Amino acid sequence: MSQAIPDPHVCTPGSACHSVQASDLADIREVVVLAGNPNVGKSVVFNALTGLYTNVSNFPGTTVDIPSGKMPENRLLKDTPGVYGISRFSEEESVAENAILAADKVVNVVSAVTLERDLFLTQQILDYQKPTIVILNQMDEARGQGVHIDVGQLEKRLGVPVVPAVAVTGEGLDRITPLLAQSHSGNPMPDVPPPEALKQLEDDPATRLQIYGHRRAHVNALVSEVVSRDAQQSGKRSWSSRAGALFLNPLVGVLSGLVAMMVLYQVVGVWIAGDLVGLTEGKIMLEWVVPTIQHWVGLVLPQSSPLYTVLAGEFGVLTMSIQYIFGVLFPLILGFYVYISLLEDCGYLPRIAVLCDGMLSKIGLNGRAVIPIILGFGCVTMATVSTRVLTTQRERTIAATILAITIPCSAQIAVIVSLMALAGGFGAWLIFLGLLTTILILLGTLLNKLLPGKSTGLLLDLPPMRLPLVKNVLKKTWVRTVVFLKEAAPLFVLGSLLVSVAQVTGFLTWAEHVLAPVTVKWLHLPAESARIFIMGMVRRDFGAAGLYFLAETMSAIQILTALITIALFVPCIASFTVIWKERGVGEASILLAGSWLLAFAVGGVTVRLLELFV
Amino acid sequence: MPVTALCLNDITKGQTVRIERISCPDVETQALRLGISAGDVVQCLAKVPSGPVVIRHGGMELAIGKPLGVHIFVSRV
Repeated sequence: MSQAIPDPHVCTPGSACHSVQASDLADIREVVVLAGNPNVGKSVVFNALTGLYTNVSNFPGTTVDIPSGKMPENRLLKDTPGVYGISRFSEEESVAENAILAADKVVNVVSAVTLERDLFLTQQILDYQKPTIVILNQMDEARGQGVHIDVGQLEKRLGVPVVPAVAVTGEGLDRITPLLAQSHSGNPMPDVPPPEALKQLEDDPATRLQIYGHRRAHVNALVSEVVSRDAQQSGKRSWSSRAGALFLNPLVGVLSGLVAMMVLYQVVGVWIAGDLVGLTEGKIMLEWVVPTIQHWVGLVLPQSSPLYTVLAGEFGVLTMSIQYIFGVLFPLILGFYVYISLLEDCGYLPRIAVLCDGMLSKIGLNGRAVIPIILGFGCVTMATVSTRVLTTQRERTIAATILAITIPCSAQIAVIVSLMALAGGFGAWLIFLGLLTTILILLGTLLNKLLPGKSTGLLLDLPPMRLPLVKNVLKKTWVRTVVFLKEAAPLFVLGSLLVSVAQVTGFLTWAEHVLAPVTVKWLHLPAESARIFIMGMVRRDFGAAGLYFLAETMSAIQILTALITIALFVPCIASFTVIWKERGVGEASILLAGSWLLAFAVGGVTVRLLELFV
Repeated sequence: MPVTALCLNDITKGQTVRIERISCPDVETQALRLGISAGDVVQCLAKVPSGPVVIRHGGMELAIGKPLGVHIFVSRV
C-alpha cells in the first residue's frame, strides 16, 4: 500500500461517517480505487459505499482532490477524477493514473449508455492486471434508449464481475463489497506485454498510438458482441434531445444567456447579496454577534488597547472575519453555487460552454472557462479556485489574470450599479463596460501570445438535458460551499489580521497619506478617495461602499473614473492569497503590481479623456 | 493520399459523415479513447459559427473545438 496521507474529507451533517485521519490509516489493509469516465456516476457510488459526499458533478474536472473514505473490512476507498484513460495528458489524468496504478483493487464504473467509449478504460485497467470489478451503471437510462446488454457474455469476455446498477437509486450496489473479497484481475488483450513494459510503451507517443488502436479495435469487437440497440424511431425525438439541440443555437444561447444573467442579478445580486445579506450581516452580525464578541473581548482587554483593536476592532480578527465569512460570504457563495449547480445539472451550462468556445479560444481559453468567469461575478476568490477545471497551467494563468483584473465581484457590482446613475447613466455604462471588455480581450490576447505552450481545444461530452434532481443540486452545493469556505476562511482571517495590525500601527493612515497625492493629481479625485483604494484591498465592498458615501461630493466624471479604477484595481487580500496558493508567489506578485499600475494608468488616462470630450 | 479534403469543421448540422483519418497524433489518441476511429460513421448535431462541431456517436454527444476538428478528415455518406 503506497499513498500519501489523504486530505480530511467533507462530511454532511447527520451522516454516520468521519473524515479519514492519519490514525485511521494504520488499520487499512487494502486500497480500493474508484475509476471511470466523467459523468458515469462514480461520485454517487463513492457516496453509497462510504457515506461521504464528493463533488457529484456534470462538468468534467470538478473533482478537485482525491477524496478517501473507509469501507467495511478496513478498506480505503479513493475516488478519482473522471478520465477517459490511464495517461498524463492533464493534471487530473496524472492524479487518476497514479491512484489507479497504485491501487490494490479497482472498482470501475462504466455507463451502459456509452459502453463503447467507457470500456477503453476498462480494458486498459485489465491490461495493467489490476483486480477489478465493473459496475455497469445507468442501466435505467440505457433501457430508456433501447440499449440491451448481454451482461453474462460481457463478464466472460472481460474476465471480471460485471454488476448492473442504477447508482442513484442504489440498485445493484450492495453486491460490491462481497465481490471485492474475491476480486481478481481479468483478461488483458492478447499479446499485450506485462504492466511495466506496457507502461513504457504507452508513455512513448510513438508506440502509444498503436496500442490504443489495438485496444480500440478489441473493445469495438467486444461491444458488437454484447450490445444491441433498438432501431431508432425517427421523428420521435424526446424533449430532451430537442432541448439539447435548441440550446446549441447561438441566437437561443445569447437570449437565454441574457435571461440567465438577469435571473442571476435579481436572485443572487439583489435578493441574496442585498436583502439576505442585509439580514445576515446587517442585523444578525452587526447588531448581535459582533457586539457580543466585542463585549466578551472587552471583559478581558481594555477597549483602547492595540490587542483589543486587532481582535475585536473595526477590522478585528474575531469580528470582521466572522462577520464577513458568515454574514456575507456564506449566503452569497451558497446562492451562487446553487445557481451554477442548477445550470450544470440541467445540461445548460455545458452547451453555453460550446457556444462560447469560439470567442474564448481567441484569448487562449476554451469553453470550459465559462465556469470560472461566471463564478467571478459572484466572488473572484471562489472563481480562482474553480480555474482547476481548466486543463493546462497556461489556461489557468490566463483565466486567473482576467478574473483578478477585469471581472468585478458581486461586492463591487452592487455599488457600481447604484452609482452609475450618478456617473452619467447609459453613457457611463457603455464606457465602463466597453473599457473593461477591451482590457479583458487585450490581456487575454497578450497572455496567449506571450505564454509558452498551446491551450487545449475543446473536447466536451455533453450530458443530456434533464430536470435537475433537487437532492443532487443541494448536495453538490453544500459540498462545494463548505469546501470553499474551509479553504478561504483562513485567508480572510489572515486578511483581517493584517489590516487591523496595519490600522493599529498607523500604517493604514500612512498609506492613505502617501496615496492621496496620486489620487488627487493623477486621478483628479478628492483626497479622501485614497481610503477607498486601501480599503478595497481588504474587502472589495468596503472600498466600493466608501465611494458611495463620497459620491455626493464628486462630479459625474469623477465617479466614473473612480468606478473604473476600482474595478480594475488589485484583487482583495483573500483573492490574492488564493492566487498565491494556486498559481505561485511569482504570478501573484506580478498580478498585484500589474493591476495597481494598470488600474491607475487607465484611470488617469480615462479621466483626462472624459474631461476633454464630455 | 486522402480521398477528400473535407474536415470536421466543414460539415453542417444534420449531415452524416464517415471519419477517414485523423492527421494529428494527439487528437487521434484522444479520439481513439472516446471511440472515434477511422471508418466510424457519425452524425452532426450542431455546428457553431466559428466554433465547435457537436457530433453524436456511440451514445455520446461530443463537442469538438475548431483547433481539434481541423485534424479530423471526413467524407459524406
